[in-house]
Amino acid sequence: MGGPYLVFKVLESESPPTGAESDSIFASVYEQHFTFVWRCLRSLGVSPAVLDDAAQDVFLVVHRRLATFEGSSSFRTWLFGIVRHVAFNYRRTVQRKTGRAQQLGGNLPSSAPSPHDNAEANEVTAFIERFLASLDDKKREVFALAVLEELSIPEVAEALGIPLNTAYTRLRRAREDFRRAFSERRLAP
Amino acid sequence: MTRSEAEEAEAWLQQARRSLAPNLADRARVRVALGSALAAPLPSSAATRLGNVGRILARRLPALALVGVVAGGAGYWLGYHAASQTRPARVSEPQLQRAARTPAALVPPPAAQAQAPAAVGDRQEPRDSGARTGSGSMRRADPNAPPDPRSTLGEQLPEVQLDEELRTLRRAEHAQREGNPRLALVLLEELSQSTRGGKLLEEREAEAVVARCALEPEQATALRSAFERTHPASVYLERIKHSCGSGAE
Repeated sequence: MGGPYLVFKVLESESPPTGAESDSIFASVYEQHFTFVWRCLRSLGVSPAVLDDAAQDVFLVVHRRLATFEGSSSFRTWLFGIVRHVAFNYRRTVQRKTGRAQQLGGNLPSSAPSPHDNAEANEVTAFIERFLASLDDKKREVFALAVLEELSIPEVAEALGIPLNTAYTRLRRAREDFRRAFSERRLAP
Repeated sequence: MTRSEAEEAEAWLQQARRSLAPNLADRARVRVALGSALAAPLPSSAATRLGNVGRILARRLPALALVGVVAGGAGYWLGYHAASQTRPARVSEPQLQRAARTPAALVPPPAAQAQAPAAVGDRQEPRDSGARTGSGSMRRADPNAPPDPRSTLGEQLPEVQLDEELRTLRRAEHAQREGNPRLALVLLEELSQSTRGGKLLEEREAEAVVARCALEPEQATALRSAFERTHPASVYLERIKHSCGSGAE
């Protein structure tokens, strides 16, 4: 239902989607894939302070390009291509700037952790963010997609545009790094 | 790595997936900002940065403004929001009195919900009108007649601000995560008693249902079913199934 299903349905039809159909598809895509987009952005190192802006940019691009999705790849791998590009730009430049959400949304509460946040969740989040930051970009992307988002390795390879064996190798190394980091965390006082 | 370590690591990864995921407030906040970006001219810096996206979106403003574009079908919750404005049940005195008596009033008891489908406003209108007009035949016959002051107590309440809704949702989520669903309910209840309307009613209901399922596990199945009936296409059903699924089954 929704998302890719609707996209395929429209692609199969002879006539181009109307504005209302297109908006309906976009709304479904937003709802179905918001978590994926948000978590990928975080995994790829976008700061919580600008996550709103980055997520918004991803969906603005999705809105613009949805009609160009040809169905030759899985929808999530197509979407990840956009996420990856936006995350790269944010990591490179946007984090120094004031968030646009501030202009559009006023003083809406942010997702930054507060003192009330659950302590265990904070510990896990802090650990995983430290670990992801310690990986190089190549391993981080594979780890985010294969481990956190649980995409299949062929999907990961497709999303990143790399050979299957390369994806397997990067995943194996990222997992080794994770095991090491996890063991070190246990040994730490 | 031993087997127990591997299991612990997997548990951490599961927790990481949850803690990196957006909460209801995150989802709602971006939805609102995105809606603003699509429904109004983009700020010049953003328009420059987005190039064609801004121009194309600007051309489609009228359609986008109408459809709403985002959000469990923004059209859906806008419709829901609009419907809530006309529901006497949300603003009538008896409802507010009931709300004051019970902290769970944001989510009607399952039995009440089962008897009160979407057309609750239509069904209650004649009865309320009759009650407030005595013989009431003139009022009942005239759908454009001004509402009786006694039934518009809710309309005197200030309209809830979006940032207030988001802040309350976020605090309620934190309360839930800290294992305090009662506080979550109280926070949501305070908001619904002190303000009217809102753009995040579905989110607030979902949060309240999750809290109630934690407080009243024996009611979990009924609560879940009631929410499912009221919001059959809700994106929060999965979460509610997860929270309310095992309690009474």
